[in-house]
Amino acid sequence: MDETLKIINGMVKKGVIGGYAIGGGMAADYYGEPTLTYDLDLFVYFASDADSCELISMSPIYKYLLDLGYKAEAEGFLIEGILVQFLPPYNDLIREALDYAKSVMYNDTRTRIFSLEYVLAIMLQTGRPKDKIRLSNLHEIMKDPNTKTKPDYDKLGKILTDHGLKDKWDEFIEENTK
Amino acid sequence: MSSSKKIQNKQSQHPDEWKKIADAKLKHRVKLANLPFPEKVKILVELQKIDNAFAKASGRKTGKVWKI
Repeated sequence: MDETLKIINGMVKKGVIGGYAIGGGMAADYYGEPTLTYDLDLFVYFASDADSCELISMSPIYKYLLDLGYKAEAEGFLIEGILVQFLPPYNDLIREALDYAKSVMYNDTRTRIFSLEYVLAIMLQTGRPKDKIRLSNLHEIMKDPNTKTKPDYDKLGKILTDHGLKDKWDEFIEENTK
Repeated sequence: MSSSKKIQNKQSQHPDEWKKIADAKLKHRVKLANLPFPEKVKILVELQKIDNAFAKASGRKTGKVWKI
């Protein structure tokens, strides 16, 4: 994965993408126990992003990676043995998560990942069965006194309120403390 | 009797033992969650290998095992 991240960091350096952060299942795994996933979801600022209403173009990413000899596969690219999906920040919550992603190290390689508070809020908002399971697993781990997975509850509360998820969170907590 | 009913019966008959099992399981999960990121990725790849073996045997389509 080091090599994959180095290629992606190179894309940022060369301006192919404006920046990125790891989200999806891998971000949940970063804070919780490892669970099965086959793709590395990257939320990216596209080169033409800004706040324009332009259609997002994936072509610079395709061109750059194809030129490097990587293959497009399924909905992503196979980069150094890992299937990477490049996703746009498709709503305000994701955009904010991308803006406030934290910088972490993977061995010797620097990368960015959604912070725990945003991972929780996104799973709650998305609400697919697999997100509900991941959220419930993370919540169990967060409650344990020996865990390193501790959200900043003030920050989480603000995110939930700002994005209209407070009631949904309260419902989730009620269901998961029975 | 359904299997979930049987489990519920066993749980009510031996609450201490069930609590011990549940606590031990959570302790193990917390240990996994506390591992460094690269260690978790190594475990993820092992999970992918297991899933691929099952998928192959049952003819189910699945993703590619990561090469890390």
